[in-house]
Amino acid sequence: MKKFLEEYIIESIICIIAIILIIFNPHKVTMGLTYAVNMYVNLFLIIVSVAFLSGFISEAISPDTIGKIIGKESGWKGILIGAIFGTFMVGPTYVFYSLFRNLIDKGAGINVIATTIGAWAIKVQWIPFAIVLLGWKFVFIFNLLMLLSAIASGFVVAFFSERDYQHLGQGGKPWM
Amino acid sequence: MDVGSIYLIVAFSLLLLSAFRDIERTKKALKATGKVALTVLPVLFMIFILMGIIEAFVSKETIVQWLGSGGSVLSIVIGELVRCVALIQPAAIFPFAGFLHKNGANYGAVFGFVMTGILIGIATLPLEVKLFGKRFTIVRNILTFIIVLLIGIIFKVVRL
Repeated sequence: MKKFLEEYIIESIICIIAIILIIFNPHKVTMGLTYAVNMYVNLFLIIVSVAFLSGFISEAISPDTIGKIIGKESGWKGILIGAIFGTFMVGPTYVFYSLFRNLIDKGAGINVIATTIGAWAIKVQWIPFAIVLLGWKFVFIFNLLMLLSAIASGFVVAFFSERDYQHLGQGGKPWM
Repeated sequence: MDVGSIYLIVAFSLLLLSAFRDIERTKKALKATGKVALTVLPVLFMIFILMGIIEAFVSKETIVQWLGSGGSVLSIVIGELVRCVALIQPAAIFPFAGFLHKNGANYGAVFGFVMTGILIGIATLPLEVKLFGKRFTIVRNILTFIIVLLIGIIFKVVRL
């Protein structure tokens, strides 16, 4: 039981929240469940594709190659690649979390991954649309500041959390 | 063509390419894919349920009410907090941000609202903790909140 709770703590908490809310407002919870199913169906292809990309990277690309391209030692080149990846990718960030974690396990820098997540806020494909709605000055400054802050947050997050990943590459176990 | 199909085509092309080059490695890659999918799919489903419940309980009208006439630094913080909880489809973020601005929300609050929504999400925190650990998640989210607040203040002070 203890092991089950440790393993499925998130799922258990969400189930408890849903059960409590269903007692008080079954209509809204039903709406929520419908939303969840629709979302799941809409994103299913992306989730499966990202899972494949994670599996593919873990088998087909060597840790050395990943380390050279986006590893800690890749320097500004790696950060830039991470930022560009985050800027151009489409879909919610959290769907890509498993891929990011696999990349970290394979030698990607924590700062590069944190920068990628930060740069996700800049969506190149939405810029023309945003300019029409909010004005070009706002959109330009907004994207520039977000790019700079994504890079800065990459360094800070790496500084504080790198110790959690130090066991990797020293016989430590990756996330799965 | 939708985004999911594009990702699937990319994944399928890589699969074919990989199978053509090394069938054994491809089998291993597919096995790893199954493992990732089995780990992530159930968690994501629960996360979507949480998102759905939040979506049902926090309406757009409530958000407009909270942010519509915001003019202080506090409005930026409110914008961030609301957006941490409220879930609006990515495609609807900018139109909704434009709508908020027209309804009186300042650029700082609009910025806080848009950015926090993309970068922080209460509903997706459990997944982030599960995959990256507590330290990574806490530092990244708190830092993002602070950065967005500071940039929001810049937008409030500098008239565009």
